[in-house]
Amino acid sequence: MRACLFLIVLAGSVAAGPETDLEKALTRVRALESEIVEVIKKAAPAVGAVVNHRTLLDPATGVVSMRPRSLGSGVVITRDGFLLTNVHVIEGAGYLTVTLPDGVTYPADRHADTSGGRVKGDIAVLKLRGRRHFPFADWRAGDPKRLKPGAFVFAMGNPHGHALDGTPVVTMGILSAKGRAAADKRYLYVGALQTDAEINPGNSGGPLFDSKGRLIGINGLMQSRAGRSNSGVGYAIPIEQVRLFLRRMMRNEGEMGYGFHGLSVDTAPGEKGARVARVEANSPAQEAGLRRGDVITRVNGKRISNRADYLNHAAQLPERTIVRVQYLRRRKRRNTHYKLVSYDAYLKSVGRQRRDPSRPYPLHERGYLGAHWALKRGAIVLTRILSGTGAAKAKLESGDLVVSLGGHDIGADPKALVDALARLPAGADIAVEIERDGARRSVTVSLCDARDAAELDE
Amino acid sequence: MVLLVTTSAVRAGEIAAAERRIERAAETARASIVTVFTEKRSGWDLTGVVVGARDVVLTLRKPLLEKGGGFRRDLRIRFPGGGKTVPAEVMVDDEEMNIVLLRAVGGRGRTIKPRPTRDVSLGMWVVLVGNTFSSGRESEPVVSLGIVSGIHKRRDGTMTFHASTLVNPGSFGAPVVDLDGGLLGILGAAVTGAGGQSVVIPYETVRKRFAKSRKAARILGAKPYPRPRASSVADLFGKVMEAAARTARDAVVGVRSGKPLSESAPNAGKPSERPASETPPKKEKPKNKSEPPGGPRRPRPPAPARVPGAREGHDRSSGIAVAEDLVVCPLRVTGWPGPRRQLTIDSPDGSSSTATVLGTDERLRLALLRVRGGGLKSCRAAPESAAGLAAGRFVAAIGYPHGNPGSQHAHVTFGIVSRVEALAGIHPALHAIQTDAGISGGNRGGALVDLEGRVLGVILDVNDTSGLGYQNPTRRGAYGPNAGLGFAVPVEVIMAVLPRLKAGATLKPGRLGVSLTADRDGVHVRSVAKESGAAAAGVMAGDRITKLNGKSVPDMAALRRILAEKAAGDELLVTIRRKNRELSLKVTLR
Repeated sequence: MRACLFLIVLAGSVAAGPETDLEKALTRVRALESEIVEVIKKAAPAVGAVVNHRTLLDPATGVVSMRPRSLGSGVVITRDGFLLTNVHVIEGAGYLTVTLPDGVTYPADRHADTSGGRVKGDIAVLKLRGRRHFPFADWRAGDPKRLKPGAFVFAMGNPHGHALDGTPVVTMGILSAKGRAAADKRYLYVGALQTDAEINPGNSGGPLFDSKGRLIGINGLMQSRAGRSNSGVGYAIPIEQVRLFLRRMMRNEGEMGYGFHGLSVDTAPGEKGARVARVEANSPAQEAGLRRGDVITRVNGKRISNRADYLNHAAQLPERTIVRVQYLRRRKRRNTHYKLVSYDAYLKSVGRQRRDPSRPYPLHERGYLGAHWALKRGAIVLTRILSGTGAAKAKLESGDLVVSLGGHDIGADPKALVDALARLPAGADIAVEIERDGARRSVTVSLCDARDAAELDE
Repeated sequence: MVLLVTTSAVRAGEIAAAERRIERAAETARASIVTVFTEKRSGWDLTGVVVGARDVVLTLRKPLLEKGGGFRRDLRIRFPGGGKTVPAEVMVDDEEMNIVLLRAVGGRGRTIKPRPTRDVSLGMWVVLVGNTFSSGRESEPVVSLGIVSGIHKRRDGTMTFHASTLVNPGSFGAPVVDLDGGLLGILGAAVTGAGGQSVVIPYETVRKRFAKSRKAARILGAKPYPRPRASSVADLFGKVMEAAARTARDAVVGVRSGKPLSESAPNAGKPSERPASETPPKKEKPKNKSEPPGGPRRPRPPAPARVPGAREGHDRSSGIAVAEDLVVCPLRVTGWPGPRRQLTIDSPDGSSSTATVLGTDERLRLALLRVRGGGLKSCRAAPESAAGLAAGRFVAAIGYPHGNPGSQHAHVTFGIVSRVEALAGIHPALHAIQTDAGISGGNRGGALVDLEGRVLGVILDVNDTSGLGYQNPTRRGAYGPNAGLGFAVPVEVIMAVLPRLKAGATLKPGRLGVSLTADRDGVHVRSVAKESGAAAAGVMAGDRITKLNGKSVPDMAALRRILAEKAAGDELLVTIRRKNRELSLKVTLR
């Protein structure tokens, strides 16, 4: 780089004598350009292309396979290989791989995510395997709060699978706005950064860097109105919001979530603040004395002047955070505080269950019999018992005729068999009634994880 | 050594300096924007800007009208920073220009500094601050950076310009400011079909249009415009960009396709009268108004029959002059894969001439045209190879975006190199340069250039991969206008095939005629097609391909890369391993 610059200077001074204005300008713009090239070079090695291999079950035969189904991006944030990405990138994954710019594809494990709240958060942490030290982008360095709209930002990732070989695609733009509550039905995007750096499908989970190459956010959402307008509206979860969760996420595996207040608010017309529209029974907010019609004016010291402010400052807090709320009731200022609970804990406290037991489990969570089957002579017959599975341990044999599962008659309908299994998680036991050599018998099969029995098909 | 030190001193922090300038511009403009809406909140909000007096707001006219005409009575203006919402009344409006001045009754904002039209220069950075997607209802306005893409003189002496800032509902009427935060114009419309291109109505035009109204003239004033100081690297950027664009666009031409050449078009014999229910064919609009010689002007000339293969949206593109009478353009515009069509070249000097196809490259989807009369200015190719480019290098895309009304000159959008050697396994142009510069329909065939206006590559239509044996993994139209995913075939790849195209070659993808599998050991032949080049040369199933033309092929990507440079009819030396024996076979690609 240095040598290269030297050459430019020499060429300018020797060939043309006094530099023209344009040459001077060119030298400086080139300097800007090479600074940008350097920033990208510094940041890029930590960016990975995430491939989500989904679990698929053929209901006619019981064969489970895994195929690369969806693509996303991610960024390594620690030396030992924690990778930050979006929950929606890894949802339903049988297994995950991450290809880094070194060209190597690493297997990755789901470590923790923020899908535990009432509305899911879109932050997920994976753990990469296969290398002792990974190149990483420091998750502590970036400070989006200090950036102003207009600052340069760089989005990197794997749009439309263009970076499957590992080399990320870089787009440049500026920070368009901060504190955006983006409309997304499936995930909570509050306090988000907005950028006009182009973000496309596949960029999800990828990093947003500032002009010093510091990680400032995780890209996750874009807004566009096809035909009428271009894209150029991308949202990223700011790293300071991620940091609220990250320490806990790296320490503990599993799901956590944005904390549950038990409040829904709207903007009070002609009033500064977020008006409480509803308070859920037995929720932390209700226990702290908040009522419908109260107008929240401050949360943890931050001024709240409308619903967006409430979303940006209150809704982004993780569970187990203590919240101090200042509010107006009949124009009188009052204060209260409460501790956010996890949504699961709240549900348990009111005697409800998060999961509707009649709803089937997604394929990667449900139990798997461990056998293939086929429809033969008007009955479901097992064709293959996979070794090491519950079916093998229960001594089921190929040729056995399945009569009923968990008390449900199967008859000649493979769908009934799949349905009977769909409502049980891996690890659950199920009574299987079979017919062998004309005699019926019943055995108990411990269901295994379908992913362990999958045929890898790449 | 001294030189080196001083250069380093200049170099340090240019990025921060540029940023500061953009941030300040955005901040200045933000103080002067307002949200214009109707009390019922129907539709998206508009953005307005405080001009001339503290209670006068400039915005677009049409969105404020009732369905039957006449302004709506429930107009409201909201001032920034959680400011007041007040009723608005119409002061003066201009239907043709679609602009209106509103008075905010009882409200006061901060007036914005105006800038004259002469301050608008091609390629300069401009900042748009608006209520994109009605962001002004609850949160902060949205800032977007773009460049001035093209400048157009109107017949009445005023002008409009195009900017590559983002266009979304909610930001219409928003100010487009220079790096001082001075008002250059307001966002008037989106250019249909050319994503990321917005039409900006310059402030000076607004002032001229309202000069007739004494009230407006008094408010907008006629004071001389303050001259901005341009010294930061962000200001210099505009100068450099303008010079680059001017250099490069002389070699970028517009290509139009007309009627099919041959009479034996597939549907020529069929009866062409169809009931009116069929989609009417698009009327041709020749850019130059000259009538074809002979024959009086008929009231309605029969529209040309639609030709299969000549797809919608492929009747116009850009092209690059590689010699004074030679133009490289996308293959599609020539009518491919249907019959060849008449071609017209619109050169940057305003003249038009016909062109014929010399040679075609079906792998790169490009054609070489000979232009009758010549007289074109040849492009300057960048000296370095595309592989030497780094992500982050500044580039400009130069071409004629679709639907640009009456633009004689090519438009320019700015971006960076997003990655090099893109499109592996997706498109045969394996070494493509990827950029986030705005690319839209008519840009295809245009030039991707560096800061000195030297051509790095020819812009490629990435959606056009059909029939190549490569799968475009994404949905059709995924690479929509200005998705920020543009691709260019490096200029050196084009230069390498130029002699063959000049000689009239039709280059088709070269196929070995084998199906392959790859594993850790390398690439293996799974089966050999009958009557293929590989079969004729004696390649057998089970062979491992180790080298092609002496270059080792450890994996499929390496193999594809070498094959991509070859065309059908080329000979290739294939080195294989068969049971511990190494064989070299000459295979003719078919």
